[in-house]
Amino acid sequence: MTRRDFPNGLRMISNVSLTLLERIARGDAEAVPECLALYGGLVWSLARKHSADPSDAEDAAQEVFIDIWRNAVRYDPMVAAEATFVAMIARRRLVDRSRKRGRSLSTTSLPEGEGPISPPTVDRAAIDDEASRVRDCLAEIRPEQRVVLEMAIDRGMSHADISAALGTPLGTVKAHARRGLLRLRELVGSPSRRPLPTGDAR
Amino acid sequence: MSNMHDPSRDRLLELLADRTVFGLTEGEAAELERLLFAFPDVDREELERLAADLAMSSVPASPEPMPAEIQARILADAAKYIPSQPTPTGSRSRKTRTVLGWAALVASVLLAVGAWWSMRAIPTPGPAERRQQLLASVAQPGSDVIQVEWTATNDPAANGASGDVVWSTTTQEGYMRFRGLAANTSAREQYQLWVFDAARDERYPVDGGVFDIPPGGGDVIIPIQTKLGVTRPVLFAITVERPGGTVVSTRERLPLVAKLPQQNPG
Repeated sequence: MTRRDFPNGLRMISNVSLTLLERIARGDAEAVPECLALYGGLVWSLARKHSADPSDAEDAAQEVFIDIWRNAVRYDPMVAAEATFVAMIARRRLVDRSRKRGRSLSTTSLPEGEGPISPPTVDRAAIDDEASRVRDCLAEIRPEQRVVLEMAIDRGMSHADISAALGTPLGTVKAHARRGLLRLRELVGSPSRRPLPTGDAR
Repeated sequence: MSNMHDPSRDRLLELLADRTVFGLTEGEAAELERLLFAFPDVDREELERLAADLAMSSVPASPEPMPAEIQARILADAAKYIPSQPTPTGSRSRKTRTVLGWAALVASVLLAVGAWWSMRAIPTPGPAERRQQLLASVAQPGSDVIQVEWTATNDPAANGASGDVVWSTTTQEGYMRFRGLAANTSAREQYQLWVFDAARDERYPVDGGVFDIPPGGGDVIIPIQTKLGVTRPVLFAITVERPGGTVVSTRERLPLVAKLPQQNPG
């Protein structure tokens, strides 16, 4: 973002280098189709994972984009990458829909005494560095916590589905998710894992 | 977030984690708001950003595009939620740009909707025809379309059953052909397809959709409707499930499987 401070204290923001969400927050209609083109696939992919059927995914995707338009004004590029913000808004809506529906997609039962789940195959070069770093840190948390987080976040499964699939009590599933996520936060925030500063604020 | 061990702060972290992964009840959400008010130093979205990054890392580099008709609906709806561009007093050019911007947006919506309608106006080939079209491309250079025969198990529904699966990973489109698979009573049970993907853990096949086999014999063609992307299919399996299918298959009844020949890596 390019900011210029003028002598009279008026701060001008150049529209040229604003992010899409910043432009949308300022009412730039041209940024809307650009945003949809850039993040439509991401939102659609997340919506399908969290939805019971294609019709549900369509409704979910529409609701997510309404949330994105409404929340664009809250986006701060100094806090998170734009894609992270979009995915966060999307997940919040999708998790809420899954919870209200009381059911989410999952596909198989797991045998008792489950081991770790392999992370899904992804093209590392094409995803954000931060996302890749978080995925790497996930490999370091306890297997039972990792399993629950992968089932919930990668597959959009509800805690009831995970409990049924693993044969683990609901409370244990929630405890694994909490501890796993908080441990992940520690690992990602660990000084040894922070990326070296590059001079680029983003 | 600080590491202070205050029970209220710990509870706040619990609720933030619960909200991030599974969502909260109304009571829990109210409790969370109270605690966030009490601990203003806590970053209320840190865990959600973490989960968002994790979720993004599981999305393919080239995810399936959002269908055009949904994009059109989202675009058509957007104007209701996006603020008007601030217009400095007396600045007609800015106002004109805003109007033009929304006009361009509306035009793009109309184009998208028009494209959608024109696609709808074209007669859509049925499953049997689409299957034939896919099959016709098997021999074409660079085609990834596969055809694999069903193998019947000892399940009574599969007695004398045959058929095949035709699938294209590029287009994520496929069709199942059945002959002799027992007709089901959909109010009592339904068939469900599972696709085992070498790119995923074998314990988590992709749900390929629920379907019925009508009485009367003859070939039945069923489109495959995978709920997740399939990258490297290795096995298609049919189970018998309760009406509506299941999210967790016990695989008690598994009448048909279609296994792809093992391919050399690379």
